[in-house]
Amino acid sequence: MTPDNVNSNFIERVLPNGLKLCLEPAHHMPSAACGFLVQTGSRDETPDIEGVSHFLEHMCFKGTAKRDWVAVNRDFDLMGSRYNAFTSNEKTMYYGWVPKDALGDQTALLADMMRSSLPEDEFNTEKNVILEEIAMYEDNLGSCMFDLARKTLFENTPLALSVLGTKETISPLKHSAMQSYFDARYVPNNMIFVASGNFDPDQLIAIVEKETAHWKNTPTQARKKATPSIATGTSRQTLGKFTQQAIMLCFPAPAAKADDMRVRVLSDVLAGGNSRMYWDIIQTGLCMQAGAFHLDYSDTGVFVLYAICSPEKEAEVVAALRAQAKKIYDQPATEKELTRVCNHLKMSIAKAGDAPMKRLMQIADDVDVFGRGRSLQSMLDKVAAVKSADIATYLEEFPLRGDGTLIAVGPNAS
Amino acid sequence: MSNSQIHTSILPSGATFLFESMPAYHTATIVIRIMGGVSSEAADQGGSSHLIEQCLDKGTAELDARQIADQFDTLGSQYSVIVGRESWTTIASCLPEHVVDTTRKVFDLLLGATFPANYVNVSKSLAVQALASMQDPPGSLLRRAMMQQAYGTPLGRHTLATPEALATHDNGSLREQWSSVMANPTIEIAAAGPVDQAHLTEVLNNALGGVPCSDKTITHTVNFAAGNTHIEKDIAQTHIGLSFLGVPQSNKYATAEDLCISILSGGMSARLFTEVREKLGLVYSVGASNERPRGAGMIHVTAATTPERCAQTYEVLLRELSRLKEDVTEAELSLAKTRAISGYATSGASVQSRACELLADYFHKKEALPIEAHIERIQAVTLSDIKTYLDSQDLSKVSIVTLGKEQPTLS
Repeated sequence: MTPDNVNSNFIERVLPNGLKLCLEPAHHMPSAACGFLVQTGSRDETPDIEGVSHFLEHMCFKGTAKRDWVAVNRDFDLMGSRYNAFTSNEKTMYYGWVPKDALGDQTALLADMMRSSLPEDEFNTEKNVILEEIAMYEDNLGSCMFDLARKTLFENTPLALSVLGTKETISPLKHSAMQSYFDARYVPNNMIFVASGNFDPDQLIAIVEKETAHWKNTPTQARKKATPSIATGTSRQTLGKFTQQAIMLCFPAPAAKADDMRVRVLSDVLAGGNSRMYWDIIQTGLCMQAGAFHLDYSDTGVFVLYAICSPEKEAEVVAALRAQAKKIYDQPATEKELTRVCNHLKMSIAKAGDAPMKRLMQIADDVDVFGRGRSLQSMLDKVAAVKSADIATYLEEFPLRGDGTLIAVGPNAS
Repeated sequence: MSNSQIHTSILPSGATFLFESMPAYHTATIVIRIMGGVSSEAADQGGSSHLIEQCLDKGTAELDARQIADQFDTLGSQYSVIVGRESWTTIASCLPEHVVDTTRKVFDLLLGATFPANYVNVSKSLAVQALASMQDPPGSLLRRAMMQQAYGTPLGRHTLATPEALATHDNGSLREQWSSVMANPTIEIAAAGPVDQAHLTEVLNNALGGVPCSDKTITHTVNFAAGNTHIEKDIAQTHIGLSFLGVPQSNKYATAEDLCISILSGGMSARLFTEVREKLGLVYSVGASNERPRGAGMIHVTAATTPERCAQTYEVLLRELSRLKEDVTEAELSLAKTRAISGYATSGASVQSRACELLADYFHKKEALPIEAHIERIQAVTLSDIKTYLDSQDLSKVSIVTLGKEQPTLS
C-alpha cells in the first residue's frame, strides 16, 4: 500500500520529549503558517469543568513567564501575523500566518504560549469574555441546532459536552481546576507542531527543538470512547426568538479515523453547488439553505442532512430531506456526479497549494486524526478512485434508510 | 513579495482590462465588474439587481441552468456573481489551462442570459425567505439598519429590498433591465495568475466584439443621518453599531484613515480589543472597519455585550475614539504599517486577492497599482498625516443603531 504522503515535501519528526512535527515547505510562497495543535477538547473534560478547554485557549493569550498579555498580542502584531486559536470537541489549535522571514519568531512565541502562566489576575476578566461569547451563541440559530444535536446524539458520552461550556459551569470554574487540566493535557506527547509555506525545514526544526527542549513528557489519560445513541425519533427545542426553523436529519456514519473518502464524495453528490439538493430543494424554492455533511470524530461519526426553512414548511422540508436519502438508493450516484465532485476537489487542492494557512489546517487535521500528513495529490487520488458501486456499498454499511434522528430548533412547538 | 507588473489596456470595445502575471501560482482568477448594482435601481425596482445576480446563470438561448452549471463543473471552475452597491462582480477561478474556456463561458452568460421565468420565480421566493431569515442573526440585522441610516438612499439600500418590491419583478422586466445595462456597459476586467496576457486579451476581444462599452462613472451621494435608532429584539446580547463619515479612496488621507482603523482594530494589540475586551472583559466581539463606495467613505464601529454592560461598553468605545485624536504614537503607527504591509505577503498575496485589488484600485483611481506601490504609500504616512486626518474628522456626527431587548441609555 502506498503511503499517503509520498510525492510531497512532508518532513515528519518526533522530538525526544514526544512532540510530533509535521512540516510541508512550499518555496513559491511569500509567506508561511505554523501552529501547535493540542489533542484536547471538550470531550476530555468532566461535566463539572465543562468549557475549560476553550476557556484555557483564551487564557493562553494572557501571559507566560516571559511575556504579559500585552506583549503576547503586541509580538504577534509586530510580526504582521494573522493569528488566532480555536477549540473543538477534540482539539485546540493555536496558529499564525506571517511573511516568511517571521516564521521563526512566530514559532518561538507560540511555543512560549504553550507554557502559559495562566495569570490568576486575568482569570475573572477573561471569564466575563467567555460568558459574553456564550451569550452571543445563544442568539445564533445554527449554534442552538448543533447544541441540541450534540446533547441528543451523544447523550451520556463525553461528546455531549459543550465546547463553550455553560453559564452554570463557567461561572464557578476555579483557576486551580484549569491549572490541573492544563498540566495534564498540554504535554508534548499530546501536541503536534505543524508548518506550511516558505521556510527552511532544518532551521525550523532547530527552533522548535530549542523552544520546547524544557517541555517534560508526561503520560496522558486515554480518551473515553463515545458511541452515538442514534435512534429514530425527534428532539425538539422551541425557541420563539428565531424566525426560521433549523432541521438536522442524522444517521450513523464512520469515524474520521476510517479515512473513508466515500462519505466525503457522498456529501458532495448530495450537497453544494450543482448538487442534488441544490436542484431538488433550493432551486425549487422550498428553502434557501439545505445540505449534507459528515460530522466526524476520532471514534464515531454522524451523517447529517440539514436545512434552514420557514417554520410553516418544516414538514415539507423534512419530507424533502428524507426523499433525498431515499433517492440515493433509487438513483445511485452517476459517473457525471462523481466527475463533478472530483473536479471541484482538484480546484480546491490547487488553491490550498497556494495558501499556507489553508494547507496548515488540512495538515493539522490529518496528523491529528491519522497520525500523518496526507499530500494533496493522495487525497485527490482517493476521491478519484471512488466509484458508484463504492457509494452503494457504503450505503449498505451506513444506511440512510429509515427515519433517522430528527433535530428541530426554532419557533415551532411541534 | 515579488516585483509585480500590471498591464492596463483599454480593449477595442472600450472595456478596461487589467492583468498581473503570477507565474509561480497554480490557479488563475478573472474578475469582471459591470457597473450598476443596487444604487442604480429605479425607486420602484428594489431587489431587481439581486434577482439579476441570481438568474444570470439560469439560462441562455443554447443552455439551460443545469447545462450551464455542468459546463463549469467539467472545467472544475469556481464561479460566482455578487451584486453590490455599485456593480455586479463575477469572479471565476480555475486551473490556468482552463482560463480561456472559463472566460468564454462567463461572457456567454453575461451577454446571453435569458432569465427563465421559473428560475426568476424561485429566486423571488428565496429572496423573500432570505429577508425573513435576516431577522435571526443579530449581526446582519444590525448591519442592514446601520447601512440604511448611515448612507441613506441610494447607497444604504439593501440588495433584497422588500417582499413587496420583489413581487413586482418578472423575467421580462429583468431581461429588459439587463439588456439596458449591457447595451452600453461600463466593464472593468482584471485577471491574475500563471496565464498568457495576449491570449486572454484576444479571448476578451472576441467575447466583447459587438459590445460598445462606456467609460461612464457614476458617483452616488451619501445622505448621512446622525440618528439614534433602536431595534427591539428578544436576544441575549445588546448590539451597538456606530457609523461616522470617512474619506473617499481618492482622498490623500485615505491610507492614513486605513492605518487609524488598524490602530483601533487591526489586531489583538489594537486599542478596542485591548481596552474593551482584554482590560475590562466587556465583550467577546468588538471592532472597527471602513468601506468606500466611489467618492465616499464610511467608518463603522461595532460591539456586542449583555444589556447590563451596554452603557459602559458604549462609554469606552466613545472614549477610545476621542483618545485616538490625542495620542497616537510612532510605535502604534509603525505596528499598523507592519500589519498592512504583511497583508500583501499573506492574505493579499493570493491570485484572487490580487485580481480583486487591481479592480478596486481602478474603480477608485483609474489606476491599478502593483503591490510595491501600495507598500510605498503605506510607508509614506507620517504621524503628522494621521493627526491632520483625525483633526478633520467630526466625531460628534455619529449614526447610532442598537439592537436588543430594550433600548439602552447611552450618554
